[in-house]
Formats: sequence, C-alpha cells, structure tokens
Amino acid sequence: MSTTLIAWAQRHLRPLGLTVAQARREAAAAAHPSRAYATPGAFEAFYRLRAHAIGAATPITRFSPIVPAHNPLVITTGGQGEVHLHHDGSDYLAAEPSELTALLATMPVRADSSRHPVLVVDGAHTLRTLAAVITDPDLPRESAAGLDWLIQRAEHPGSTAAYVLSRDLRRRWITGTHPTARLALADWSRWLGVTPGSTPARDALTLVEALAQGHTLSGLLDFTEDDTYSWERLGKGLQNWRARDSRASAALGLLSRSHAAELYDSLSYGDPLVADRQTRTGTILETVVLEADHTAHIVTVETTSTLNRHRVGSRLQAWAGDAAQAADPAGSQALTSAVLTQIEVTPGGTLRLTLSETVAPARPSVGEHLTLRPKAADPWHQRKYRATYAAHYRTPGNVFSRRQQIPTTRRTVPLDVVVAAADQE
Amino acid sequence: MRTTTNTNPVTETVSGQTTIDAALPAPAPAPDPATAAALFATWSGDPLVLIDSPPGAGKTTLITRLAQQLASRAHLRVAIAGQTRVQAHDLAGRIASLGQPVTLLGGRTERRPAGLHTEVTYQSNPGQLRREGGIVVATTARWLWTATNNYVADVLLVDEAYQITYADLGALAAFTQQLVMVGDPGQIDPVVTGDTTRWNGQPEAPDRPAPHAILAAHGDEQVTRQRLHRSWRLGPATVALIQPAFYPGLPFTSARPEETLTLDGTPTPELTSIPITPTAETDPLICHTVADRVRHLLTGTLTTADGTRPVTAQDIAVITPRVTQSALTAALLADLPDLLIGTANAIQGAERPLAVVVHPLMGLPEVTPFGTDPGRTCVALTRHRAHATVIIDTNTAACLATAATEHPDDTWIPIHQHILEALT
Repeated sequence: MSTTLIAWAQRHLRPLGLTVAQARREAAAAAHPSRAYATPGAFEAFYRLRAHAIGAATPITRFSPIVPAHNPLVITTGGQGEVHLHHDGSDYLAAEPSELTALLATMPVRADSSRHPVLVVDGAHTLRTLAAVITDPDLPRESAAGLDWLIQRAEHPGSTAAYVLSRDLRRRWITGTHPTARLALADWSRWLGVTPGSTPARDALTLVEALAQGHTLSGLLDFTEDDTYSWERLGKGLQNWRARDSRASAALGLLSRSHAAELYDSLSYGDPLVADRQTRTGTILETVVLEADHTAHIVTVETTSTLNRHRVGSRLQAWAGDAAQAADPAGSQALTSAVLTQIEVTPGGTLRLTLSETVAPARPSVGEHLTLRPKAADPWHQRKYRATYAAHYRTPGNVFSRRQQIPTTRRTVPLDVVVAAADQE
Repeated sequence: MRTTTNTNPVTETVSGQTTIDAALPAPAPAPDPATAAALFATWSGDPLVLIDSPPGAGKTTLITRLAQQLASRAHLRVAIAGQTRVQAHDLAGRIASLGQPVTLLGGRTERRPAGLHTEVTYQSNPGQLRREGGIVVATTARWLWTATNNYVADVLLVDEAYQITYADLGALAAFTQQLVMVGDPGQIDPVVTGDTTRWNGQPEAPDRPAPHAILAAHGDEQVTRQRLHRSWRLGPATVALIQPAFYPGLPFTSARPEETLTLDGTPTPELTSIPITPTAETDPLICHTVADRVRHLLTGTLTTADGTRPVTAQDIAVITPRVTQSALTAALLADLPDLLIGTANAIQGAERPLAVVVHPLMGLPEVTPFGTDPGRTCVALTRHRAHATVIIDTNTAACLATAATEHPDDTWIPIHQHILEALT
C-alpha cells in the first residue's frame, strides 16, 4: 500500500480513534463501513482500504450513473499526444493535429444531423485537445459546431450525450489509491478486472459499457430531453463557436450546467449507497418517528446523530426505512414531503425534529424508521426558470447583456447635491 | 435657484431643477457626502456606478438614503436587489421609516413576512408593480423570476454586489438602463454549482463576482468608482488585522464609537480565542463550546456612549463555516431565539455587538480550498463591533504548516498563518 494512501487515511481515521490497520481489517471483512466511520473522509478511507485489500475497485453507487451510450464516438489521447478514435466498429489514429482535424471531419458529429452524437472521452485533457481542434479553419463549420456542443454537454453532469471516463468512473467506483492519484484507462481496467481492448479507444468503450451495467439511476432520462432540446436549438442557429461566448450564451450555459449538477446530485440521493454516504454529511438523516398527528399533519422524529444540514423552514422529503432503502423521487415509490419547523437537542444528545405540513402517501407511524432528504430538484421548474432567465437577456432594453458601449442619458442635478458630493473625501 | 453648467458627463454636472424641487412638500435633508457622491453620479446619469465598501462602512444606510433621494427628489423609478430575504426586508423597512413609499416584492405563494414595517406595501403579484410606484425591493432571485413586462426601473441598486455572479447581473439588468452596485470586495464569492471550465481565466466569466467582471468588460471609462474609507463597525484591533490581509486595495480606518464588553468584571479585548481539539468538523464538541461561550457572554455587560447594559441574545452572532455546525448550535441554543446563527455565507452583511466565530479550518485534517477561502475568514472576523471570540482547533497551525510546505505558491496560506498567530 502506498505511503501516501496510508498517510491520507491516517489523517481521516485518527481523529475518530480509528487506526489504518484496524480499518483495513474491517474493510477486508465487510462491504460497507459501520457508523464508526462517521465523517465523509473516514467513509472514503474505508472504501479505499477495502479496494486495496481485495485488489478490486469498490462500488460506491448501487445504480449506474450513466445511461448506456449507443454507438458512441470514442476519443482518447495517448502519452505522446496521439489521438485514438473508435466509432461503429472501426479504429482510427491521428498522430498530428492536422490528421485529427481530417478524421473528425469524417465523423458523425455534424450539427446539422437530426440526432445528436454521443461522445466518450478518457478525460478532460482530451476535451482540451478537441477544443483546440474546433478552431481549425480546415474543420467544416458544422463538425466544429457539433464538437463544441459535445464539449459543452460533457460539462453537464448526467448528460446522455457526452461521457468523461475519468470523472464518471469515479462516480461509481473507488480504487485502493490516494484520492488524487491519476488513473489511466489501463489502471481502471485492472481495478475493474476488465479485459483491455486492442486500442486505448476500445479500452474506453469497454469501460463505458461496464459503467452502464446494471440498473440506471432513476431520473437520468430527464437529461435526454435537455440534450435533445439543446441539440435541436443548435441546429436552428449555429453560433460562432470560434469567438468567445456571447454574454447571454455564457450566462445561460452556466445556468444550465448548474441546474444539471443540482439535478444530478438530487437524483443520486435515491441511490442507497450514496444515501448512506450522505448520512455522514448531514444531508440525509436517518430518524425514528416519535409522534405522529395525521390530522394536524405533524410528525416528530428523532435522529440517530447530531449531524444535520437542514435549517428550520427547509422543505424535505422522506422515505420509510433507513438510508439503505433509499427511495427515488422520480420513480414509483411515493415519498412523504414536509417542512422542517423545529429542531431541538434531546437529553441523549440527538436531534428531535418537528415536521409540519406533511403529505404522506402512507402515514408514518410511531417507531417507524423514516429517512429524510432535501426536496428533490424539479426539472420542469428548472426549465421554466431558464426560459425566464433567457427572456431577460433577450429584453431589447437590456444594454448590459451585450458587448457594446452603454448609452448614457444625462440628467441635471441640483446644486446642493453637487456641493455635498464635492465634500466626499 | 442657482445653476451649474456641466460639460463633462461624468465628473461635472448641470443645473438645479426648480420644477422638481418645487414639487417636494418639504426641503429634503442634505445628504451626507458619501450618499451625495453616489447620488450625484446616479442622478447625473452615469450608467454604471460601483461603490466598494469595507465591512461596516454603512452600505445599507447608503443604499437606503440613495434610493430615497432618487425617488423623492429625482422622481426616478428605483428598484433594489438584495441577496437574501432578510436583507430585502431590512432595506424595505429602513426606507419606509424615512417616510418614503416602498414596495417589497415577495414570492407568488408567500404571505406578508411577520415583523415587516407596517408602512411597507407587500406585493406578491409582480403584475401589480406598475401601479405601486415609488421604490420596489426584492431579492435577486425574485427579480429573476419576474417578467420585465411587469415592471421596469430607471435605476437598479444592487446590494452586496460581490455576492452575485456576472451572469445574474446581466439578467437583472433587463429591468433598467442604469446600475448602482454597492458591495464589500472582501466577501465570499458567489456560490456556483455548475462546471465553469469553459470560462476559466476569462475576466468576463459568467461565474465571476459581478463587479469584477463589469470592470473587466467596461473599464474605468464607463464605470464610476467610489470607495468608502471608514468602518463604523470594526474596532482598531480588528481593522489592524483585517485590512492589510483582505483589503490591500481598499485602505480604511476604524470610526467605531467606543463599545466594550465586560466579562467577569474585566474589559475584554476585541478579539480572543478558545482552543479546542475536535475529532472532526462534525464533532459536537465544537458546537457545545460555542454554546457555552454564548451563555458566558450573556453574563457580561456592554458599555457604549449611551451607558452600560447587560448583554442580551440579540447582541450576539454565531458564525460557523459549516451548515451542520450552525444547525446543531441553533438546536443547542433553541431557548435563545434572538441569537443570529448561521454560516459565513448566510450572514454576510449582518452585524452584532458580539460574535462567536468557529474558525474556518476547524476540525479539518488537512487544508482545503473551502477552509482557506479568504472571503470566508474575512466575513467571519468582521461581523462584530465590540468583541469576537474565535474557537480555534489546536491542530490548525500544524495543518497550515504542512500546507505551506506542500503548496509554497499559495499566497493565502501565510496570511492565514499570520491571522491564526494573531488570534492565539
């Protein structure tokens, strides 16, 4: 085991009275950490030590964090800057930037296609390579616009159009390495026990298929709608991707990225392993029902720890059972919704929470376990907000939204103000 | 009425307005110099005015007076964007107490907030704004949900302008052709959840604090800059610690009237610390220590020019780096609802005579960007007038020393080390 991993694990375990040797023993024997691993750092240390002990990557989500990629264009970059591509069963290699430009011109990434392409890359460095290529005047305009769109979708977590393996693999598995260790695709193949492909791009394809195995995180299909809508808008009017973003497109791009991140995080709380991790941050609370007044729509619960990120006034949702029985707000399992109206510390040192305005499909009863989570992000609400935001940028009188001299309309000012202003130090 | 002729559109100005002044029921009080300078620039039509302020220099007072003067004397439609509901309610209440008609725009499904000044008109339907007139106050979030066909202002005043992104400012600007931004450049940058890789390093990046990006986009030619140079909140010891560290480009001095905490019969320095050794940032020891200190402070007295009185819960703010810490502290002190408890992000702009501060690196086994964010430390150490107790982790000095070795190019680590040494 690397000394850096040991030192890192020690930093996170020692304050909790845990040792690396003890954690390693426990991690080798159990798939999931006990409550003693009470902080996010200690929780992660357990999984890293487990991965090291068993010699295999350890899953940290139960569901796949991506929708299966259909016939993607796979692009990876080698150590010498050479770029490997794979699409539709064929492999390509570009040793020089001009070769890459020529190859990309033949790939199905044109913005005038009716359906959006799907891109898989090994990491952010390949996205940077592509960002450089799209400024090449030899690349057809439609291909450059399509590639720019894919690069942008890669910055939207949950997008079904672009996958960045260095990021997405870490969402599903932890390896027995230091958290900042750089893992090549071959390293991931080894940790996952996947037979490497004949080229780096085929490696990437194998890994993205492994990533998509099993049940998909519920709600991810909402991103398909956003991807499709965005692609159709691209086809209607190509922006000048070689210039800087306009202020409006930058602002809306930031907003859509933020919404994607918030929606993805929100959906992930429906994964039992993520929910378990979030009990260590206070985002997810495991509780027991103490009192339930269904006429007044008030339920009082007691938490199992003092860790809590929710303030009085927060809107919460809840499912019956513990974090391991995580329920999905986008799926079939109906959730209790409520407003947190009071928090008290019990003599035993835990928290007593009062939930009001409860709307519960099945009424929680005294003694029942109830797990609380933040109110789920609403993609419909997000889209409506983005439409209003875009309208503000389109407002004809919005002189600040464009790169131009701002018109000035002068007014006369009374003398007393002029004199008083002159006194300002 | 005497008039002055203006030839330079930015620095000189024009005649008195007999018709406007004659329309006033009574002469308006002469504005103070800082307000007058802002009023002059805005009234004369400068399209972008940026007023930089150190903590406690009277931003809210300036905005309140500026709005009142622009509405009552210049007869302009004035919109104000606050960053939190509390700020928006406070601004509306202060404007109402000047006798100026003001409307608070709330959420569509919300009711009139409890405790809102009785003279404030509360409106949840933006479609009614055209009929209200006067000054309209709302949070930035509420403005951004409002259609511009409901309301347009002559001037938009943005409070705590360093807390909003350039992207949001661009959307807000749909309501006006003239912007006045008032803010504290030492505060925490706006929280952005989305990936910003595409605009990394760009001076006009949409995620940057709005004033920085506005300056990059329009430069000194179009941005009228003003600075406030006196803090009415911070005492000399706090200014001596904070100003060189966090405001190298904004020199300011303490103008705070004398205000002293006496605890156990002894006057207490402006800044003191309590060392503890928590197991993690989630260790309940942190919040229990804070709660104990708050209860201790409640046994003290505050002495000002008005005399000496017992400390009350209303006098105390608790500032923590983490939401979990403020939530547990609030629960431990639930019997004291008048305390102000929150994270540095949540209570930027707030002020109390006394503060109990949890150091941003509390409980962390290693230095993180979150823990060394200069804005977080700056905000936490600048909410008090008379005294702040800082709860410090005994491991933090070692953490910073390790980080200084591992990241010798990080210029903020030596500053955090200096502040920690000064506090201990």
